[in-house]
Amino acid sequence: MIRRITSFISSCIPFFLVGGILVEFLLTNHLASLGREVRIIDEHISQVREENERLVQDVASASSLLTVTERAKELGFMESAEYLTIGTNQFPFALNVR
Amino acid sequence: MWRLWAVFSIFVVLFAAIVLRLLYWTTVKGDELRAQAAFQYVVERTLPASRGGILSSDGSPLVINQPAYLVYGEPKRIKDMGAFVRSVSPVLALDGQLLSAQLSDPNRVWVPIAHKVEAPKVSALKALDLTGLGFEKEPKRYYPEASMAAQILGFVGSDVNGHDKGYFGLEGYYDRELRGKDGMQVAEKDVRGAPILVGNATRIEAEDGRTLVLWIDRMIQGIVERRLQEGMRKYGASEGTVVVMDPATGGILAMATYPSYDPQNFKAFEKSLYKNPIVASAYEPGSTFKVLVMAAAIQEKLVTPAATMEETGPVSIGDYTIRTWNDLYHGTITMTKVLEYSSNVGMVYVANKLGKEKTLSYIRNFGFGAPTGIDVEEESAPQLRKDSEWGVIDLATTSFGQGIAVTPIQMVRAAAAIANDGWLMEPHVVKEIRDSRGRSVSVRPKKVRQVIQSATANVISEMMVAAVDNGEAKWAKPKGYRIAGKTGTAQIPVAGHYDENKTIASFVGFAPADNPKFVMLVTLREPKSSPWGSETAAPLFFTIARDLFHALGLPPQY
Repeated sequence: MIRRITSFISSCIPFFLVGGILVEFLLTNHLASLGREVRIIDEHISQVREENERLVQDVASASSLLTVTERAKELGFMESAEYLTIGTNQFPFALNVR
Repeated sequence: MWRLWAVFSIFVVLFAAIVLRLLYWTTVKGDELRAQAAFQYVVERTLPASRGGILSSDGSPLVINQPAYLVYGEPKRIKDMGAFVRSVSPVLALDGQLLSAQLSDPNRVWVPIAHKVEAPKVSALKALDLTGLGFEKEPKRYYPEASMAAQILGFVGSDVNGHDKGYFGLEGYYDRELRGKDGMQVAEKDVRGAPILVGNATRIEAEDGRTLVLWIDRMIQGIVERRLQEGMRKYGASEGTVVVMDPATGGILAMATYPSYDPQNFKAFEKSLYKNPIVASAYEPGSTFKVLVMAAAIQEKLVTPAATMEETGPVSIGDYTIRTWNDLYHGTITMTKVLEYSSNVGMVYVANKLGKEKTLSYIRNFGFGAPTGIDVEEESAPQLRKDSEWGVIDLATTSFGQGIAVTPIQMVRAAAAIANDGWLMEPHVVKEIRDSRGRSVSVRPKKVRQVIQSATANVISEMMVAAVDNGEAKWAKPKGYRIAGKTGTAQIPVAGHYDENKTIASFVGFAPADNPKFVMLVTLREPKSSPWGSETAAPLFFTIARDLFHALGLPPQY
């Protein structure tokens, strides 16, 4: 029984070897040709990065003080000309009304 | 027989020739041929690093990168040169004849047409679909806040090799940190130029430049710039500076200079505007310097705020006569009144009590005569004369801030020491440095030395509050706040003498006096409306201070 199994395995080895070599050839060839896809993906990454930079630039521009000030003016906000402060000794009336 | 030997010899000679030739190609020319072969099957690509950005204290960007391109032409691939030039030159606003001449050079296979062209123009050029027109990424800087803080930021130009390099300000000082490090990819390529994955490959990732987070508060910077421009117009000054500092940390909250420039288009402005005068230009501080000399005398216990002196008239020193600024003399006055009246005669009395050695020692301890160490590229510090070159008159004039040259950053830092319990801090613009992975390093506030004791600082602060409340500028002071400060009006030295009409008006102060949140110096050069600091720089200081109280949420104190 063992002799038959051993004999069977021995006779299959060449087929395994040839099959393995064929698989390796196919895989290697496939990998070698993937370089083109890698280049396409690299270009796509580069485009997305550039798009991100443009969006960051747009966000920065939209949130800049200049833009916010102009938008506030459009919405009717007014710039205070000057702040006037008075000291407590200038109050003409008593505080702490209970 | 000899014919056999002859033929044999010919074969030997030929064989030897072949062997020698092979030796030549494999050894002498071997490296060169290997390199040529590698060029055919190896692709080497630089992975460019992004330059780091600069953010304000609230994380808002002051400088970032925007996509831009180098536009180049390949003359040998251009089919119709005339049509090419006519299509490209209007988009890039170039002289068609000049472009045509550049592209017609027979020795060139690659011609750079325009650098750092922004995306919309590049899209327009790509739409033309011209053969022989190529694009290469070449990012450029973008300033969302336009010309805000231009002289702090600096700009990015090119070095001798055409690579980006920062100049002036932070771009110059932190150029290495901002630049980052380019990476590299080396891989075997196939006939179409695509990388072969199972081949030999090396990839070194680019290290993007670090990002700088500043102490600069965008809101405060905006307030300061706006008010400075208004003040310049109102008082007719030729140049103005304002610097606002946090006395406890040395952090620069705002720094504005007028006139300024636009770093996005720096080439369109005079080169003299690139340098930040707050760190690079010297001036004579005038009466603002009095608070430092008075602080020194109080620290040495030579005078007290209530100590008196006789201000009966001008003081003669050698061939010179020292007068008060308005030629008014008040008789017996206290040291506090010396500051309130801004009495030059009173300060000569104080300086004589201090003596030359102690005066010079305190001047050095307050940081004058040496750079402050602020992290911007172009700082310079006027040197003090050697001790042996100081005469009696020099001591006298220095006591009221004439005959000594300082930079605005030195002056505000010295005043900040008074606000900070006597501790002199190293000023800094950058608060934090972040790498591309998000890890950050804080730039810790640095105490340089304690110039005066805390008790002395408190005393001189009260004297400065009195100088504001009772001095010439009291009319402009905001009510409800205790502000410590001092006006200054210094004549400008011109060709060995002082110009009688031209002055530098200044005001230095901090508020709230009991727990200062900011120290600020305002300088106006040659104000035309009035030469006096009390009528120009002081009101401008108080206007900005009012805005800062509101912006920082500081309520009135009384």
